[in-house]
Amino acid sequence: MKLFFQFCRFFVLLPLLLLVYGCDQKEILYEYKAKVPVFEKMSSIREMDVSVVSPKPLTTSGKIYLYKDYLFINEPNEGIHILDNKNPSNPISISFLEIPGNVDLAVNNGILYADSYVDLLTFDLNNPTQPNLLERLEDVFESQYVYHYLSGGNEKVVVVDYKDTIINSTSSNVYFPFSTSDKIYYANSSESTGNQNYGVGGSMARFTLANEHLYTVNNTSLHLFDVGNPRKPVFVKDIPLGWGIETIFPYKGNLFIGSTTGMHIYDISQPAEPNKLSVYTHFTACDPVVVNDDYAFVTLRSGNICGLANDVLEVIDIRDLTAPKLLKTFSMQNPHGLGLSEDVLYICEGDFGFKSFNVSDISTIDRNLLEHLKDMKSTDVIPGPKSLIVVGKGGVCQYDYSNKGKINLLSCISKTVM
Amino acid sequence: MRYNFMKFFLLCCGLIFSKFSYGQRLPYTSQYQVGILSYGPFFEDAGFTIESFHGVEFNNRLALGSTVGLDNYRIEGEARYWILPISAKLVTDLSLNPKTKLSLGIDGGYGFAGLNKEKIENQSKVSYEGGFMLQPFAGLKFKANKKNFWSVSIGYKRQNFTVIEEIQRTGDIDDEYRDKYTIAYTLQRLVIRTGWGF
Repeated sequence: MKLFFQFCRFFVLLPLLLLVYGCDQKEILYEYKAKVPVFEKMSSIREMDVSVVSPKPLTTSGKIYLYKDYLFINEPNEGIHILDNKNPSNPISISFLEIPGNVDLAVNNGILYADSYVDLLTFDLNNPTQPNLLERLEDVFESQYVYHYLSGGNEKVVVVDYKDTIINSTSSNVYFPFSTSDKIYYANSSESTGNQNYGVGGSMARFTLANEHLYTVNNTSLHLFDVGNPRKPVFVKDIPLGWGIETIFPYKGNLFIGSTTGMHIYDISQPAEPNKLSVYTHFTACDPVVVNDDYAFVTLRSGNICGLANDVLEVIDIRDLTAPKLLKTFSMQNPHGLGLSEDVLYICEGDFGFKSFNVSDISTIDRNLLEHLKDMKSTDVIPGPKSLIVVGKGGVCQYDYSNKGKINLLSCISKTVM
Repeated sequence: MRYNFMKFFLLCCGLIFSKFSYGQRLPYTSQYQVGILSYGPFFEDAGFTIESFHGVEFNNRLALGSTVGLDNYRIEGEARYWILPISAKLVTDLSLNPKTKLSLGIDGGYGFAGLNKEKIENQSKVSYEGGFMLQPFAGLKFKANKKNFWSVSIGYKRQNFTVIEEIQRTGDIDDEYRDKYTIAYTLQRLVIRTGWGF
């Protein structure tokens, strides 16, 4: 009988225990592969040699630049390939200028300006095969610095690389059916990470030269340098522009600055004092811009970085620079860079190929497609004096575009898979 | 660990069936039960359980055998999952009166999750893994006739179960990039069962 009472007590106690323990214990392990930044102090980078080495294969292509008969191809964060382009059918690689942290360049009167993380470097190009470093302006692109990562947050460092890393995090949680506050929901992450070779919305500055000044943009500011003495650039000032600044295009005494939310127009008749004329706004997207006397052509691209917009070409009336007006919008597939040569507009459609349009009548651009090369995956284009230079996933190719309706391949510098 | 348990389980089974091979000197016993799995005495998110036990009686008070069952869990008030538990079970019976026995026991094994179909949708894949199971219980057996009995029992069931979700990220990055969530549950339930045996 005594045993029976013990059993009854057990029967009563067990449900009571389960009132406390009737639950689901959860141990959550979250693992993901990510590219994490590798930091370096600028003092260490400055100690590295900026040197000219023999030509090497192209592995990734960044910005391209034409100067006289020379073609410069940036290898992001590595340096600049210099090619003799007298004959676009047979460009000859002559040297590679090693510049850590370089993503942009411009050339003025035989002087090459190139960035190196936060510094601006000036090279003498009298002998383009052996550029000679003349000047280093330190800390002029301060926004490249990142803080609060190393040495208790006091050290200023730059991101020099990204490496693949498996990151783990764990958490624990208890679910009681009587409370919903502990429920955890997971969203499909479509967050993008990693390096972009031609990414807009990145933090890298873009360069252009006009009126004896070098104008560069990063994603928030316009930086001005007086290059009246080309061999000795002088930093003038920064002009804040707002977030999402991407591209800069000079045209007849004006700067057209593309941002993710619109196009800024600045009068640079007084080069050291750019005067804001207007801002044309559009939905959030990546937007390179080219212009002629009357119109600005802006491609808007959707994507993870660019925003959830449509892919379109916008034609904007800029005859009155203080009041730009949207005239027409045309659907595109995934437009990246674009170039304008007389009345032909070239548009790089990313994985969707390369298109050319006759834009003599801006109201019927969509009906005036000259060519659509679907296999020619492209991201940027320069209509040069001798050839049309197209940057694509496979490398940098040049085309004869004397026949507007049909471009002909002259040569290709292919990327080497590393 | 899982393999160690399986070795132990197979050893138990081997022992039981080796006893059978000794000319049936030990009587065979069997029990079939159905019941519910709930979060304590609240049945809103209850699942159900069925189980069959096959073993031998060492004397009138102790039985050892193996069980196979099927459990259905509702987890976090949302999805339902299936577990196929296979375990070793030790039961001791104490007579309370000529028609009633108090039954105390413990059941330990591995719950397999193979009945849950892997889900592949868009860029995500969800798969499941089972885990160890432990189940102490107490109950009563009521004599129905000379050989058969009815039973009721109450117990605590602890079952490990893992949900693995892998998400392929979209964007301008290569296909290797995956997010992986491993949610390891320790499910703790009140088990109330009724059954029949001999």
